[in-house]
Amino acid sequence: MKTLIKLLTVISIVFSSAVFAHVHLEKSVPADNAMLMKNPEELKLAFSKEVRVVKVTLKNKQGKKIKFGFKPTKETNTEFTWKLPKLAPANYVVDVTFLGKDGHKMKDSFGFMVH
Amino acid sequence: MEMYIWNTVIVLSKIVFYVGFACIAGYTFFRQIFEHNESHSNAVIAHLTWTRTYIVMALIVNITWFFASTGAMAEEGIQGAIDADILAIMWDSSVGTGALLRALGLVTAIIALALRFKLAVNSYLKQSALMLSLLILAYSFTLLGHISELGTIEKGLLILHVLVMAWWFGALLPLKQACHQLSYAELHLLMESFGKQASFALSLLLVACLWLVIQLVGSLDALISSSYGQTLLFKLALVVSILALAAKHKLILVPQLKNSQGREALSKSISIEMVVAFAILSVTAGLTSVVGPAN
Repeated sequence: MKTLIKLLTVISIVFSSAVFAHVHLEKSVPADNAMLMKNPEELKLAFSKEVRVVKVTLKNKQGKKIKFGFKPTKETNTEFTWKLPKLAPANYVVDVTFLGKDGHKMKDSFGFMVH
Repeated sequence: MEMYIWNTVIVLSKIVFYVGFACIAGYTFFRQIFEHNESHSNAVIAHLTWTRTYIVMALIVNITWFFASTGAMAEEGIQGAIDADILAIMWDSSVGTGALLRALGLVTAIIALALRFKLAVNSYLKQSALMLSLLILAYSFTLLGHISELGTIEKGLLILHVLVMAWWFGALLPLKQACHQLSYAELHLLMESFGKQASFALSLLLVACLWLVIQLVGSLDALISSSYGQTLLFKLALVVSILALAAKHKLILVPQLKNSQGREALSKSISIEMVVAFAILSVTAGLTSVVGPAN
């Protein structure tokens, strides 16, 4: 039993670098919790691996959706950019649903503020 | 609430598919138990009928799975499951390729079952088509889920893992049927040879499984603390219990057959093994759909 524990410990150390991680949203513009002094011109999303973006919604604090021309596409990429309309000063929340290469649905969400 | 419904449909349809896969393997490797003897023609027909019915069901469920995955992705109710844009994305993704390959594999099996085997050539053709179907279905596992982002070795091991699983679980129903149909001498011979093959196959299964767990979970800590790790541990506990049952068969129940006794006990024990096998497949369906290693 002791040898088994030792063996398992060694194996776990050897392979701990190989920890599996799902694809995730790495960076966004505007960044999460950003305080913007002027109107953001575009919405940019960067992912850790190639994904298909299924849904992006931009909502203000009241939960009202703001249209900005997002349309789901089959295209896979690590970076996506959309032009934003003029945003009134308020808090905004972006919800993103995307599909990794493994076919798993992933979700992320971030918020920013326009002064 | 909506996600609960979609996830339930996804998990249930995966379970049906797994069982269908095992049924094909069972038919491919174990139908000769009854086919070599004219007196077992009823068993042959019964085996063919349930396999065929089950594969057709798996095919229908495979389509349901694709639409449910689309619905879960869109989160727009039933409308979302038939949204053209989302469907196009899903069809283009590994989910679509997986669904297509699974449909292809199942249809291949259905065609193979329809082949009459009066000529020896046909029998080979049938067996090759069934093997092809199993390979296509096994390959489809590597496209979906967490393994798809790992290397070629892991994919190879996963194929091995699911093939051995299908062979083993697929054997249970024919073996149970054999308990009631064969003479004690025949049954003992069959179980002895199955036991030998199984010992070898299960060693492969365990090595493959251990390696994949290490690759997916990465550390003992993650195995204990993450929901994925915990579900995996639960699955492993079930696997240990089914191995214990298999050992009991090999060491206690099968030797008794030599003295022309214990066929009922063996049949009953195989029934329990089938329940545990079903539980393992159910946990796996949840593991590969609802909980992820990084969650």
